[in-house]
Amino acid sequence: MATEFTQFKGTKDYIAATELKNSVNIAINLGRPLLIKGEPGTGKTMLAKSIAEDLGLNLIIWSVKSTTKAKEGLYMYDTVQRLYDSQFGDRDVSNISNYIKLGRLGEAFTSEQTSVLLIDEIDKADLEFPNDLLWELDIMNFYIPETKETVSARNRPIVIITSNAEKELPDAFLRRCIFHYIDFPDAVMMEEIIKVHHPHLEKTIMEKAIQAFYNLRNISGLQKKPSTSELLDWVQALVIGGAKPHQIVHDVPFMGVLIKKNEDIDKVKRQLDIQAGRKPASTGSSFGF
Amino acid sequence: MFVDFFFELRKEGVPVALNEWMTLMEGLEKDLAGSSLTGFYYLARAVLVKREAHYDRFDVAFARCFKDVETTPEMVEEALAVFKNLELTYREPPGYTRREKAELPEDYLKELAKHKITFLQRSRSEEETEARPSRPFGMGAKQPGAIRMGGDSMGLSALKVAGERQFKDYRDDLITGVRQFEMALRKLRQLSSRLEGPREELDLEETIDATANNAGMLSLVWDRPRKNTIKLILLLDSVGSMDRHIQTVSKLFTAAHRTTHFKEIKYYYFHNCIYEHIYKTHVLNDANRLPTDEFFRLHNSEYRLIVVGDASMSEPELTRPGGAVAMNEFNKEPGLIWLKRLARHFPYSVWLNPVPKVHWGKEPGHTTVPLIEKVFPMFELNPAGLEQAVNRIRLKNLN
Repeated sequence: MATEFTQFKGTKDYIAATELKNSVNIAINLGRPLLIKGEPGTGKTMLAKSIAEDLGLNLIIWSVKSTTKAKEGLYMYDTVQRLYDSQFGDRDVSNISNYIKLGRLGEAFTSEQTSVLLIDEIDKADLEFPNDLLWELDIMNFYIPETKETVSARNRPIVIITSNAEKELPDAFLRRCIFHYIDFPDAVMMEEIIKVHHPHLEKTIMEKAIQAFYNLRNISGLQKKPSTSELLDWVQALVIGGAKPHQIVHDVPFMGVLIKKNEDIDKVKRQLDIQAGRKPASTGSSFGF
Repeated sequence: MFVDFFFELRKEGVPVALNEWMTLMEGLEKDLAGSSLTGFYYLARAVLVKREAHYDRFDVAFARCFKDVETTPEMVEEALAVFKNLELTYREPPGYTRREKAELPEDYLKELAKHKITFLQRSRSEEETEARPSRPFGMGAKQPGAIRMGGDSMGLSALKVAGERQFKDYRDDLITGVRQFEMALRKLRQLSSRLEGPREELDLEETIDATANNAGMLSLVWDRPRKNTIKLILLLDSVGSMDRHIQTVSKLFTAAHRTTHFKEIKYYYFHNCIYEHIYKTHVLNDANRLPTDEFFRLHNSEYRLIVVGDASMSEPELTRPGGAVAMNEFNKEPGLIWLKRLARHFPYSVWLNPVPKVHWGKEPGHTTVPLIEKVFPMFELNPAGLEQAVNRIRLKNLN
């Protein structure tokens, strides 16, 4: 008989592809961290929230910044505070544990209930950051030398790690993860996603918006392709601005919501003009041979 | 068969390690693949492949290994035909563990007969409707003795997914991302002495000394963090034959722009080769001209220089006075002299070439590359090449 295992099914405001749900379930049931990569705006961060909601667990988010050190996720020892306190005798300085604060990973380990730990944008931190967390994520405990305590996970947290980068995570780290690359959603999937956020959207606007969106994404050589979250904002703009369906594909009103770079806007406008059979507006050309 | 798959993957260039393979076995044991080829495909991919760039190689290896395993529609037809004429004699169902067999219902034959009827009804009704409720047959079937029909639990069959090779475009031999350039540039640093900036780092040694001198009363000493002092110049070949490399070059450009850790970064432009003038913007007209001597005066030899160009031109452009291709330029000295002058002025310099190394000096149009290679250490403009270049630029050139 097949063993019963935890099943993540997606939530009503988060549409997950079957493949993705599958990967989530594999990671949960094998007890490995799930590394999620994908273009910005494909809902990597939302995934953790959705898992927590669906399985009824609490969510702990550790947002990684360029200055984040691996140790901060475990605990912080506030030496300076302790030194000050020793001078003024405010608190009991002989008890070091008063000055130990657990980080996000530490919190997830000590939580009464199983929690979902999101390590968001791990690639932002220093190159060595993932390697420094290997042991803790593998063995699920860490040692605090100051208090001679070992913090072990009461309940193994479900660890979701997101990354935008392409090549920098170390091999040893990758080997311990389950990996999933969120492919960019296709038009059918996209329609479902939009429906979740704009349930009362007119069908024609929806169709035209999706058509226009994929048309823009297919223009080659854009520095930054528009992403799902930008599409959602744009649909909002279309609704508020009251755009006419027939304009959407060829004129792309409120283009600034989708395309953020000047060079890209010029390129898109030229392409749209060509597609619509209009004479392209001339742009400055450079001097060369 | 599975072991073959392991070696097939490695042959295809997916760096599978043994512990990942063991994880896969653990997953199979826990039935995470749901006993279907498609389930196995996704399980194996999630566990074994760690870069989207390798998805395609995985697909290739998977298709090669399991192409004979798929249940084709003809096979289903055949099985169906056999099943319709099935004599209801007890045969031990294959593929179950001893424990599962023990759990088989006593009246297995009766069950089987019932299933046969349901199956025939279902197969008829499934032709009419797409919706499939839970069923005693096929993938969803969990009870022992149920008949598994090959898996298409995920809509697409594994081999179809593998065969589509939808991740072809993500192969890393095709992609060179801005991010990778950034990673390489990040390694270019030289830390400052602690002379300027706010004091914000606790100096532990000094604090202990000061506190001791202060009769044990706490006295904190702060120090300045060290900073990168690298000053960088990017000199870019910008028109003509470089147009076809514009994507790669602009990725490097974006990466350099995003990198904030340099003390200073400057951009200049030239066309094919450097002569009496270079240009301040990528529009190479008279208004943007800057005499190269002036350029030397503005930037001392501390600057690191990265020249980006295809180093491909006709030989006279390098070797003869007046060889410059631009109409607004007449060079009294040959380009090669200017390049040597440039290399001498900036002893820490490299040349990045977007033309793949295999073509250097060989293909027509790239014959001038070796001449320039003698003047500047030259590397291919890709993430690996940039990394080598960044390592090389730490060393002084000897010419």
